[in-house]
Amino acid sequence: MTAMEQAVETEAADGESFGEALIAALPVLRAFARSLCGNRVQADDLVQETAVKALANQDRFTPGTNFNAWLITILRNHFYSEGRKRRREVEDVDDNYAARLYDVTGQEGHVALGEFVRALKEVPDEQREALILVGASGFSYEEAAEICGVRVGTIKSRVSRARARLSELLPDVDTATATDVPSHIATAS
Amino acid sequence: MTRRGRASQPERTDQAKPSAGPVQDEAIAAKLRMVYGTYLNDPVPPELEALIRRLADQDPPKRPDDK
Repeated sequence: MTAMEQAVETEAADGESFGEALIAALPVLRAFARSLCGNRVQADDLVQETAVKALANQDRFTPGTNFNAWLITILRNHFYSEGRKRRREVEDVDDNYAARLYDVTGQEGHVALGEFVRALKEVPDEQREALILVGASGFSYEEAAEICGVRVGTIKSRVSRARARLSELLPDVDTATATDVPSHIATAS
Repeated sequence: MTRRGRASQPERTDQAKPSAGPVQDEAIAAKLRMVYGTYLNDPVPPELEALIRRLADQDPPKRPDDK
């Protein structure tokens, strides 16, 4: 099992306190929040609100089910009910975060990745989240459908549209590096 | 004024377009994983973790049996 799969499948195990499980899930929550709102500061606010809600409703979590999926459901619901209202008001300081990081590592052209991050933001929210859940977070179509509260077919359609939109926006995506994923990322995917 | 029938109009025009091809799809998938992996590997700010730990400590876990 890869590190990302482990992260996705982290569950509130027996003997592990709810708080510890919540803290263990923070990287996954932050990554999803960043993908969703595209802003580091707002993403952390979103994660914080999610944690508060999760703690307040911890008796609603069913042990043995996917803890991260439960948390992400809370997060996205909060994003759509509250976060999106404020999203446009927050100055985006995160636009090229990923690009800068790769620039530092020198393993990937920062221009290409920055371009991808910007293109990803152009994809409608609901399509982007479906693509992130299925294409990056490791959730199945069924799990993604449950998280988003829609049918599996809707998720498949959203993923397909997101890919098509990215293909439109990035007609010259760097296919030469398609499989050249840096090792520290490959271990997490 | 004549009534414009909607029945003859296409229902939606935002149907997903055919894939640009498996190579481009894989290139996009790889970039997506890179970006997500970058986010995933970004260290959690200590202040955020401390805050949530504090909140969790204030709100001890409940179990169904506790009700």
